Amino acid sequence: MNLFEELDTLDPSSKLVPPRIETPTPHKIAVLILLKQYVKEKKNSMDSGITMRPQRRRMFCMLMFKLIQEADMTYNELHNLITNKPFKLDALMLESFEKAMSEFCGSASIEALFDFAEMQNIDTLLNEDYGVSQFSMVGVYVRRVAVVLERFSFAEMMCMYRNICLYYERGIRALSSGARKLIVGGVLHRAQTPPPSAPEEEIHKDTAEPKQEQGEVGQPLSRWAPKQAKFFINKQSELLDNDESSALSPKQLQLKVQQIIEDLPLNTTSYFLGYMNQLRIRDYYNALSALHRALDRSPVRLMSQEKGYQYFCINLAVLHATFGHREEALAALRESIMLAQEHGDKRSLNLANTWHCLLRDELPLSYVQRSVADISDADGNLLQNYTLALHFAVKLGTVAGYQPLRLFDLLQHSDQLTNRNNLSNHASEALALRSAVWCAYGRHELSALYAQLLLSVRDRFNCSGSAGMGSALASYAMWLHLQGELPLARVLLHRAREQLPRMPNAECWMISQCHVTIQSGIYRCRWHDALKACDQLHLLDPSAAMQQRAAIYVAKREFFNARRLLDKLAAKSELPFLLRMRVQVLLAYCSLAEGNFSSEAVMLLLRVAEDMSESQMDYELATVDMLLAQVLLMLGMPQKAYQAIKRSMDDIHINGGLYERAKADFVFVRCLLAIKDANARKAQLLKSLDILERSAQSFKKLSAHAKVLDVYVFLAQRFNEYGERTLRNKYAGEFRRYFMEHPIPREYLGGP
Amino acid sequence: MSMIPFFPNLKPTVANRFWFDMTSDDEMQTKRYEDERRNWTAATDLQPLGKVHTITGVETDDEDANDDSEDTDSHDEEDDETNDRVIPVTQDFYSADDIQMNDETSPTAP
Repeated sequence: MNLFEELDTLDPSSKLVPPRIETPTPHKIAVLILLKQYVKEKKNSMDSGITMRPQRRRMFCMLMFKLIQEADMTYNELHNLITNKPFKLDALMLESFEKAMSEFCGSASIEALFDFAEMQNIDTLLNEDYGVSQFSMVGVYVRRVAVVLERFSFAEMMCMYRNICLYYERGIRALSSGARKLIVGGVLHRAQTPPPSAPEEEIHKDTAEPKQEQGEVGQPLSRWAPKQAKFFINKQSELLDNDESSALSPKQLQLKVQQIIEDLPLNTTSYFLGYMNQLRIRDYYNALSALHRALDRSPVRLMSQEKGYQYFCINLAVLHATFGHREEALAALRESIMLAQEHGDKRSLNLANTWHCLLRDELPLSYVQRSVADISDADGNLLQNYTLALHFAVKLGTVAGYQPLRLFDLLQHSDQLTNRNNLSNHASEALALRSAVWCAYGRHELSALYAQLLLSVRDRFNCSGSAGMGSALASYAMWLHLQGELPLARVLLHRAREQLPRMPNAECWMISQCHVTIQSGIYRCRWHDALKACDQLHLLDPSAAMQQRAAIYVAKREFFNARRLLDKLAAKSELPFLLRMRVQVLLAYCSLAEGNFSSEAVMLLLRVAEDMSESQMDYELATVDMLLAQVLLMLGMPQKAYQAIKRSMDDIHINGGLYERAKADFVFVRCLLAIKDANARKAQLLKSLDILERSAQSFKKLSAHAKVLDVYVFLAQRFNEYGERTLRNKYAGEFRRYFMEHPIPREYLGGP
Repeated sequence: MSMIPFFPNLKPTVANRFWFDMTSDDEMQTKRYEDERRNWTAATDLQPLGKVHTITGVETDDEDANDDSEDTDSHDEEDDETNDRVIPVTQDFYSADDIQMNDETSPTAP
């Protein structure tokens, strides 16, 4: 490769030396021979009046696109492609193709290649009536091959012909020896051309072939063409962004990138793909050096527009942000903003500003509002930025506990934009965001619905691996667990793990898994497991981990430890609104359960209830009401307790998990009993027996053994009071039976 | 023991489409090559009258000499753009004149 060429590529505006057209490879010649058969058949059908079936024509066109755009294949792979679904050719065309190939490489001599390269032959392919249009993608492909073949000297034609024959022979041998036997180490191979004067050597070479990955620079049998490379890089980069598990595995991708770089060293996007691959496996040092390499290899000026280094500064900031180096990322961003302003590059400036906001978790709402007016004339990039800004504003608002109405207004605005402009990944993100917002405001049923919606249309959105999908999977898994469907939850989490194997996308399902383990541990009184999961959660979300740990201590009735943690949490300034509310509730619970019914605790609860109702967090309010009902019962105010529980029943049954529903039922029955006078109580209890049975079943499903025992104890005690011996014995027997299976220490009974 | 809201990660993707949207004009490039080729064939179809003499074009012999022998990405294309080999196509044997011509014009001649 000429050094001058390299310099030209890096600085293309100075001299207009165009890149050369690539040399055709044997694969391309084979594709053209296939095309010729098709054109011949089409001509025959036109002459005879019988038209080819449209499906056949369409499948052939799809086949041609696939062959042109993808990497070169060996002959046996091409043959397999055209003999299997979905591109299976019909028998006649297949036969004529095989015959043409064998004649070309076998019986005919180099004359066949010369004939093929004749303008007349090419013109039949490009014929207006039955050939391909010369301006179409296939037509340009044909012309590019033809124009290079025309200029070949005799020696080069000879070389070309030998390569084609070699390609064909290898393919035939592979086909005859077994299906799918890759001869030369892979789809895209660099092979050494064996000297054609020693044909017996070929056989030995074939057996030793797999080691020939690093071929010398001989006449290669297959080679990446710029267009194929472009298609491959675009596809892989999009897959890496949206659906990482469908992209090639990191090792394979690295191999392909290296091949492209070897074949087309002046192509800059291949270096960038290498960088993305390194970033994906979270290899910091290699990613950094790959980014530097991509920067070195990219032209500083592009299309007579000074591009400068601001774009790469942004990428450096993104790299640091991905690894969590906040300060370095912000420093790189500052530099990129300066450079972008220097070069007047609005696009990069927007991108830099976006990242700046995201990293500092703040959004100047004035910017968002100002952009409302400009929305009609915004170009694609700006539009995406704006939609992103809206989503971010919604997220910040939810976390801070704003009025939900305003948030949904913003979401609707963003939906209008995405629908109008077909931004599919933003649309899927919007669905995931809606699910999260509903969840934060307590409408868990709706949130689960949105999550299910997103999961069911993921194919249409083509975003199986995106972050929105991850959060939907995590959220729905947790919801299923709360409903008692632990195996289903496990399946979903497993699926999430497959789709999003690495950070940072893996964060949501990891958090979900920790929560699921913690909750399951609390239900079963397996404190050790739950605490261990808390430790894991601490790495991902420290505040939530502390709150869950406090919840575990509360369940264990270690109120001192719980209070210590909760005080620490309450002192933190930057907590999400929901978390703060829950911390307050737990604090109130601590003081109430200890037995000192100070007015302080009740005041706390009432204040929390007020905040919640302001923010319209109805479900949390309902849980507070349930707690209040318990307290009031203990204080001996059954009527008020009954009102409180009645208020909360609806919300809890609609949006609550199985545990909350069962608990609400239990408290409800206790309140019912309390408000009745002494002689009606027995009747009431008998009437409500099935409610209690149902709640016991729910607790059993969750393996919440302590609560099951609680229910049986309660029933046995009440029946003892009312003198119903048989029922008392029945429930005492149930208790004993259950206790034998799941012995829970006495202290955990009567818990929350 | 309640649900936690899971927010999607709202960071924009690493690769800006700007990079990957660089269009390469295949059609124009191919057309240019074809036109050049056509012009060249048209030009060499002419039979020059009388004695042929060299027309030195842009010297690309240096490049040829510096090429790796294995690299067959045709430098012939550059050669073909210029008309410095005015050996008429009808002649199929070297005459004494031609040999002399080659000696004069070839820079690597001793």
